[in-house]
Amino acid sequence: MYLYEHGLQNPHWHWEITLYLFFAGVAVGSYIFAAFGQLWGSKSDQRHSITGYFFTMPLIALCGILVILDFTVSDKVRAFTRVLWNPRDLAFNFKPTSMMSMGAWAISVFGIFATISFLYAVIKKYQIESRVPFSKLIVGFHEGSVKKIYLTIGILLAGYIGSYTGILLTATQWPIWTHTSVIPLLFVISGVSTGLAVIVLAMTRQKREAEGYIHRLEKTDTYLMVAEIIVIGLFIFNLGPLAKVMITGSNGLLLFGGVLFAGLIVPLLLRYRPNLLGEKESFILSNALILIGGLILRYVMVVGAQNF
Amino acid sequence: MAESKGMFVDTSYCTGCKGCQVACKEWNNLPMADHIGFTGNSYDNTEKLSAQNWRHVKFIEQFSDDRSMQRWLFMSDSCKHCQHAGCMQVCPTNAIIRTEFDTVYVDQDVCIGCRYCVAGCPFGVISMDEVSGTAKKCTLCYDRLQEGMQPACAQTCPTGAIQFGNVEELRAKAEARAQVLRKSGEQEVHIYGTEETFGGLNVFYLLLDKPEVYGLPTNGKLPSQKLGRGYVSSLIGLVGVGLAGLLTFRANRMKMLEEQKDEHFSS
Repeated sequence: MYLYEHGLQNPHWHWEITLYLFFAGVAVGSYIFAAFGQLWGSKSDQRHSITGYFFTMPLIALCGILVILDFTVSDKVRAFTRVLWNPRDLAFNFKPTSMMSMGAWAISVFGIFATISFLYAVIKKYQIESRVPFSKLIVGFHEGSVKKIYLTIGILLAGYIGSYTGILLTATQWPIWTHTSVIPLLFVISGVSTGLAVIVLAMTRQKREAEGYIHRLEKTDTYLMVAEIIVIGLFIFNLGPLAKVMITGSNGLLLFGGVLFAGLIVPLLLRYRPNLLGEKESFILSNALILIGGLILRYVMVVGAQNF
Repeated sequence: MAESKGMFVDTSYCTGCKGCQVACKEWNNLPMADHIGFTGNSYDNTEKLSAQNWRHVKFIEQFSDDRSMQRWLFMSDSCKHCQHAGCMQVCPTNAIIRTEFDTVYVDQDVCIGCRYCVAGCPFGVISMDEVSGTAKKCTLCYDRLQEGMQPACAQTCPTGAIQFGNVEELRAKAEARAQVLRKSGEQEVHIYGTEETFGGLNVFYLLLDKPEVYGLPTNGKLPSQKLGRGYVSSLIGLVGVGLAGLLTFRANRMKMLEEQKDEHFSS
């Protein structure tokens, strides 16, 4: 390690950013697979897919709150508006060189899509089409002639946000974040995996009627978890001598014990052998562990990587 | 824009008196640090640049293994006012601007305290002020420059190690000084901050050893130069996710359509 790296300043991103990146990943994952289901799924898949939309908008809103909380100025809410609008120049801030600027725009625009899809899910679930204003338009976006265009744009925006959560870290000077380009890949996979876990977990009560749908999502999530294990290995390998920071001490414990073992290997085992704990228990525990593992992964990557 | 203003820091003249640090603190009303102590590695007690210390004299204490030979190097460090500034690139609110003197300045009214600039600076120059919650760093005494004065540190430096002026003129001076030092036997003389280093540094240095010895990056990359590989990396993930989605739903849909077709024909 070069001496100068010791002189770098630490951005002191803590729980707020950890939770922000985690919830953004879950929101993105749940939206992408809800939209995939509507685009490519059978009639029954399309019906079940709306579950994903229930999570995206609230989680994106939560992300906004977490970002506001993370700002260190006292007038945090006004600061939030300044990410998009510059009162000094009386102009919008749009900077392709700043991932934070790009992410803010992507989340703002995606927030509109997530809200429309949330309303669609509410309309469909509670059959209140006649009582919601613009419901025909909202339903039309998801079922009408513009469905493909609308959902594709939504998926692309969600994909961009999934990418942004990782690139935000790599486009810095901080040693662990910038030494490897694997973090964006890892966050995309982990985000979608946790998004799938949330959808599946939310369908616990409908497990019988949506058995096929849940089974397919779990199968996909299994592949993603295997990919995640491989990418974590790649991440450690890519770090070279810096890997010591991530594989020893509390970081090592969290990465190996929390992410790899509890968050990936145990859920995989429970899916392979659901009778170990009982089918329902294994179902709930495996998905809950995937979520906990995803959260620990963000914690290790954000907070743990800053501790050296 | 007025001519590019900057500083030539000739470390061969620096005696480590820290007068520049004191002048900086006085002029900019910077508070004393909560904790003052030795690092354990050096006689330096400021440790690093911070929101309270916009200027820091680095002590590089070099000893041979048997400690029979020793050399102290000093470097009066501050913001380098890079031509391609990492902090400026990543700032999402455009709070970090280039002034009419071609220096880099943090607009305190626009800064929101996101701390991305802290992570984006390759020199570890910017840090957060706990009172205002905004990013702070050397302004190259912007207020003094507006009044036609030179920065406080340059005015105070008793040995002339910190020279303020037009960057082009200072570069010529630096080259001449490097030639003199090389002729006098200093073989490791480096001018740090030429165009190869982040497009050129307005505050640049004459060093008596390799830049790494002073804790300066030699192959640093700007945050924007790291975006491409990040996008490629995530694109691989997104393509994988897309394929997974296609296989999850499309295959099932095809199967169901096939079954429906069979049922239709058999009935």
